[in-house]
Amino acid sequence: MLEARGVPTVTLSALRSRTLRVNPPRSLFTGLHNGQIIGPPGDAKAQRTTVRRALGLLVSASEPGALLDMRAPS
Amino acid sequence: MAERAIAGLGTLDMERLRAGLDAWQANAAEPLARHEWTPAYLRYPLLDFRETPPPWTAPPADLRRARVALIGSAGLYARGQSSYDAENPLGDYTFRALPSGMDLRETGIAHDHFDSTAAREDRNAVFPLERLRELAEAGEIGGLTPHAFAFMGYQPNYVTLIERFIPDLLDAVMADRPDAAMLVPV
Repeated sequence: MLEARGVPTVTLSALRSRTLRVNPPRSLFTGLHNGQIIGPPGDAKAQRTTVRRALGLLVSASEPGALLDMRAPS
Repeated sequence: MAERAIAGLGTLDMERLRAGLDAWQANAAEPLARHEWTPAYLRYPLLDFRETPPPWTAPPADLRRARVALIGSAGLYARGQSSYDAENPLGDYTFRALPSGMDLRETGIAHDHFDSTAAREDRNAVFPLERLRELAEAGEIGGLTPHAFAFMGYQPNYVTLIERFIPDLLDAVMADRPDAAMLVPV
């Protein structure tokens, strides 16, 4: 709904089936537990990687419904 | 029929959705009251947008000039703000605007529907405000909106979400004039 107001969005995802049902414009499936969807506590490097991948998807996705699996090789 | 177009969600029959939720809530009242989630949600009428084309706005031409809004559902609130009604089996439909420069150690978490162990140790595990600030300082993004936004993402009544909560939240987000947003559900 934010996207419909003219703001591009990227959504993090820990549960692929739920994300597919919601069908956001762009989603990054992290493969991590939802309690640490960005990365383990205290692991700034891993968290930064997730945030960078999400921002990268924000600008690189070419069509609505893009879902990137972060566990796949980039 | 009370179908109407909802920006970003397609056409929805809100009265039918409301009736479905009411029926579920009536049938699930006892397990909900006992916080027995598995039996309570056996017949929950899930929404399904798989056949609805997602909305689309072109991304910013240059992330290094883009102001990013962080929106997360992990139930964060700042010291001095009220907590969420985390124990309410029917959910909490409020949000908090957190100053983007704030110290995350000055936040609490109220959310009974995910394992918050990691988030209590390091909020960035679910709400990466410090990571985004670092990227802003490094020039990889233009900056953050004045506020980040948080709510407690246990909200089973999606009619209330669609009709009241999301519009109110988005009004607050839009007032911060974001160029892009990162949404972090838990």
